[in-house]
Amino acid sequence: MFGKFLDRLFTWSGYLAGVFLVTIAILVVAQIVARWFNTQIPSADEFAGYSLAASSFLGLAYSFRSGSHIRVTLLTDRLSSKIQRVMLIVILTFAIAMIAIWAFNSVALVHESWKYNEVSTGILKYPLWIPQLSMGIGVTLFCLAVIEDLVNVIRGKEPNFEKNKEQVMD
Amino acid sequence: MDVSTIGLIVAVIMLVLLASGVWVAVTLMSVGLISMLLFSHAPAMTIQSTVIWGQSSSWALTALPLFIWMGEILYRTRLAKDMFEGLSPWLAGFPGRLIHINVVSCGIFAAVSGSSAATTATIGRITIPELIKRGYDEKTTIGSLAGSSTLGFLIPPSIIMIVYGVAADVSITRLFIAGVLPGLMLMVLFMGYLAAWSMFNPSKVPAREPKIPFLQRIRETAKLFPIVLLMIAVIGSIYAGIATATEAAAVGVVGALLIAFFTGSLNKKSFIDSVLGATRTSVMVSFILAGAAFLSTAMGFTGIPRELSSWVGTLGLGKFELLLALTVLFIIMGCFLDGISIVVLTAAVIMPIINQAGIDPIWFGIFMVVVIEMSQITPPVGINLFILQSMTGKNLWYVAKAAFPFFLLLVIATVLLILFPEIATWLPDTIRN
Repeated sequence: MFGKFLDRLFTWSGYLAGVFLVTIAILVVAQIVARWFNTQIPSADEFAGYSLAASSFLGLAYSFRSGSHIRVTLLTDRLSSKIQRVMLIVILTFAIAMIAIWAFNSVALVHESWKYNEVSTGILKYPLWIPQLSMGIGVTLFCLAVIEDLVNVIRGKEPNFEKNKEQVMD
Repeated sequence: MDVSTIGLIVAVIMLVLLASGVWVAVTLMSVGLISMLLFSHAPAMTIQSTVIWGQSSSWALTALPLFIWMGEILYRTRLAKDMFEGLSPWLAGFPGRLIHINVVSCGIFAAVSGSSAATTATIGRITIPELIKRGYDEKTTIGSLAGSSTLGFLIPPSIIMIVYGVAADVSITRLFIAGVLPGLMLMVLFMGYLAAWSMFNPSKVPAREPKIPFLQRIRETAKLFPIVLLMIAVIGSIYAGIATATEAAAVGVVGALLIAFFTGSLNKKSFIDSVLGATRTSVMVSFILAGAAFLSTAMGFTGIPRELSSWVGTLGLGKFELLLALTVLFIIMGCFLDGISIVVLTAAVIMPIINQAGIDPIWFGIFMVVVIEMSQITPPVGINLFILQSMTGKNLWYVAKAAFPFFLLLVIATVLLILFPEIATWLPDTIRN
């Protein structure tokens, strides 16, 4: 039940990351077109950068679960499957600790920007915490996704990042 | 504690984490955080979030997801098949005939694609079965694809050059311009080798296919029109100086979507698949870049790069020895890591050394791409080898052995690049002036 909820949550944040990727393209194309008419879209470059950030952070959990993130398995592959499982638990725990700190710092950044009313530097002035929210949410979701896989491994199931690994461009 | 001890501790932590299978991006970030907390008084927590935010929302990096998406769209079209059909009649008269098709189609496709993996997969999917069906030597077919796949990173647009440009703070546009001549030089080397090979092994080259009538030949060639147009739009706009790398990438995405639309391969499913595929790859790369940005900031606080570059300075290495040492380092790293990780891992530490030795950072970027590509077609770890392996069903050693002559040609290319640095620097210098 909870697993299904997480599944949906991560998939939708992945779709949202895709939407922001398409947004970058739309913004850049719109800027080119606007230039033909000797005008420009205010802060388009800035928005493209924020869309990139939103896409990168909101997609973290989704791409982790698809097994897209790179790691070196050359040495661990040679270990026995029992030790491999222990190693996996160790590195997942380590990763969770590190990502949790990162998530905490990201949320803290959003909070600071909100508290001190930080605004953007471009033509349009708007509060910075809004784009930064994507980092706070994205990294927190990422942390959840790694915790889910730690639980999977402890329960003796195959972690999502191994299970969903895509065949290299079939 | 003196800096060299700190440097040693940091290096050991990094190696242990990488070797135990921690994700590369997580490793970079953790090593940054740990070394900052242990060896500096800077506020590591605040710096982590601000540096990563700044890196991840930078405008220069927006070219990256767009070029990746463009490749994903083209991968799902029938472009590679059209290219095979369009090029075949022209290559039939060459010594070795269609065996050259991997080099030529990879060279052309590289000009609209930013990644070696995408180039290998897109071209190989068509050329390998077609060439083997026609009786061409299997080993040379696979080897020439492995060699030519390296063009994907060398001929712009190139994802690894964007990564290097961001990590080493040099102009991506100039890197793009610098990659063209070395790319063409590699194509000449590869085709020269293949021609010589087929003259010594005439039995392994099938007979010429019946001549195609002139009109049909023209009609076949017309199939090259869309990709040539796209190539001109993307590369041309960068070279003419009317577009930044990001704008050229956006033009490329639009062009790729138009090609997909007019060739009937654009539908809801292929569109969504291409976006999600691009999202996964782009997130993976930007996560590594975010981790690397934080690591290099942290390294700055520990003073390791400064110390290391002055230590290298005291060794009194000549330019050539320095490059040789770096080549060996990259090849060793290439045994365990992918190209992008190598670039971001080393940039923070190596760039001060390069600048101090008076080496042009643009030239060094091209040199690094060639050397890293070399390491990517040698076992045990090589993305291009893995793709070829899963595409052909052969084992890794067979693919690696087939790629070996092309590895040697890459070595020759590296030597030429060192002896004649103008191969990389002439075009960007000329265009700028």
